[in-house]
Amino acid sequence: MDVDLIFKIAAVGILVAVLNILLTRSGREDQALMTSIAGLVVVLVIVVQEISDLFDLIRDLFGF
Amino acid sequence: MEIVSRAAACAVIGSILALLLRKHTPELSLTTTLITGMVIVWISSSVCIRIAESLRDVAHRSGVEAVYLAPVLKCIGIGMVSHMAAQICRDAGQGSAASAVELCAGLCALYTALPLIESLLAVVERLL
Repeated sequence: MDVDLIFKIAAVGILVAVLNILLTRSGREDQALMTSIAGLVVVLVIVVQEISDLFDLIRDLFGF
Repeated sequence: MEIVSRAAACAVIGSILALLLRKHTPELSLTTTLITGMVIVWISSSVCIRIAESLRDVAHRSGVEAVYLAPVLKCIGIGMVSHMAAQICRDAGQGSAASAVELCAGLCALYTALPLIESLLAVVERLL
């Protein structure tokens, strides 16, 4: 959980955005949708792990 | 001081990247802002740990039982978590989800403060 995490998520986002444009330009809208859904799932998996780490920290800190 | 500058740098970079992604993939721009918020809270956690320790130490030394301090810390944690979640929902344009989270947080905070109120009433009754 460090600053490079932001860049990792943003890199995936930029990659998905570029792929999206390429696929829509070449007429394959459905594959563009598939790509953005896949990118979202990958990012969400990473984000959920980080959020659970953070909530464990908050639980220890504030004694939930 | 170094922590504040790191947090500020993260916030600015994260929001710029999120803005970059907003036009083509709005959902990933929201996860970028989410992760930016999480990283900043993680950066400030070292300060938080130090504050919580000294708070418990002061409470222990001044004779306040942990029973009274625990709800206070819990309410702080609830407020922090719910405020972040509500703001992220507002970033996504879901104002109703944000107000729902805040309503639930208010109820939970009240729930954790109930023992305090009851013990206060007990003390007042004993005085009268």
